Amino acid sequence: MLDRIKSHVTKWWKVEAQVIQMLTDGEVDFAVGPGGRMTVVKRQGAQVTFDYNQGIVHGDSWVIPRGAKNKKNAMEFIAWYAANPKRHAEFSRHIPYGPLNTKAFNHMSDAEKAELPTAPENLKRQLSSDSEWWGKNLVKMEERWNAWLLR
Amino acid sequence: MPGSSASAVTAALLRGVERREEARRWLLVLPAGLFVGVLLFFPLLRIVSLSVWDPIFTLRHYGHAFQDPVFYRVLGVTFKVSLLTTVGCLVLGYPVAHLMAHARPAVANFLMTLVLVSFWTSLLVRTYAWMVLLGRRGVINNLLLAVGLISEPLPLMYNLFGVLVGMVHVLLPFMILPLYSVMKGIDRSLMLAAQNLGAGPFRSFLWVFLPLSFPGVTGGCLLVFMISAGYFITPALLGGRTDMMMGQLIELEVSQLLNWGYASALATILFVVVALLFLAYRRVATLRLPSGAS
Repeated sequence: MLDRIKSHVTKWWKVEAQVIQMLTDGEVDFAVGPGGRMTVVKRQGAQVTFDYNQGIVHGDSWVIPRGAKNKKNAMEFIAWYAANPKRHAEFSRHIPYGPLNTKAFNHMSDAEKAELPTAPENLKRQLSSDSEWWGKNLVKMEERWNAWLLR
Repeated sequence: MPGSSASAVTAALLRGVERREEARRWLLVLPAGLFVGVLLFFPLLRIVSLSVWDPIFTLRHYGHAFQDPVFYRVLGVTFKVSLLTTVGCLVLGYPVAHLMAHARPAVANFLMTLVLVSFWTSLLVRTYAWMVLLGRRGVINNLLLAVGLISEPLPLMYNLFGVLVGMVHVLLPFMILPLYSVMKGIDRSLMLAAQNLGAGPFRSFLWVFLPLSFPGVTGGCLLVFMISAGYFITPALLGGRTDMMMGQLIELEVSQLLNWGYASALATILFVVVALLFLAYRRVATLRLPSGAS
């Protein structure tokens, strides 16, 4: 599949802002890109639209390094934030990243839900990126990818 | 004799003064020495050591590089782009420097300002400006489409052409400035003498001016080539799939893969190859230099 489209691809983008810029400038007609930013420029009136169909969901984590000085505060913050679905909903209102706490959707309108990747309707049409697999294979895949790109 | 002993004393005094002056000059160099020593040589050594200590002495990062076809492709692209950029800068920059060296002072100053304005503008701003110009719906394509010269947008960026346009533009001052400073120092009466002896403007340029400007050509080419070899932003933004330069590969290894050892090995190899090219080039350039010009 990738071999077939390779020669028609204008740019294999690296930075998320890049692909949004290319779409809004009309540099490309079609792209794979980050849903959050896509929603933002769409709201700002850019002539783009997107669909979560066959999207890949990436999760982010709160991480506390071992031996951190402020471990207690950090844990408290996570408890304060993660345990409160209202805060998740509020966060997603400011930037359209999907909440992981599914109760957050109880505090949202249907229109708000439709924009978010982790809303149940959207989530079932996507697949999740397997962080563990990528953790093991990133270096190998990156090498294979570069070799393929340069060929 | 009293006279000679007095002059001996004066000489000794003078020597003392000179020595103190010399010491003072070294003292004044100290900040620059510390600056470069601490902030340049130390990190450079650190990079070399990172490439061979991981966590014990190993050459596996170098082995990896020399066995990886990607490495050779990227190295090839790096030198191809650097060479073409250097040639482009020379072809465009030489006439500019030539004009500046011969123009009236007001005109020369004006031209110098133009060169310096682009020199002072941020690299990123200039690269993005080229993206606005070269894009599929950029200024150039829109203009050509409107005039009817083309019916489809030309692919002006995300390819080698885009990289070269961007890099030649960014690095042009590094060619013009050394050329200009050398040309400014060329005694114009030599050209007049050549013409007086029957050489036309073309021949006097070819046999007198051009060889005398050679140190500027050498300096400018070296500067542009060496800066190009380490380039990263412009090819990343204006280049396409196959235009990956060494700087991009190193950045990828560091920022995506946290592979400091391999990235350091790549940086060290690039450094060594460029240094060897520099030495070879200097040798060739000095040999070619006519005796009067050195």
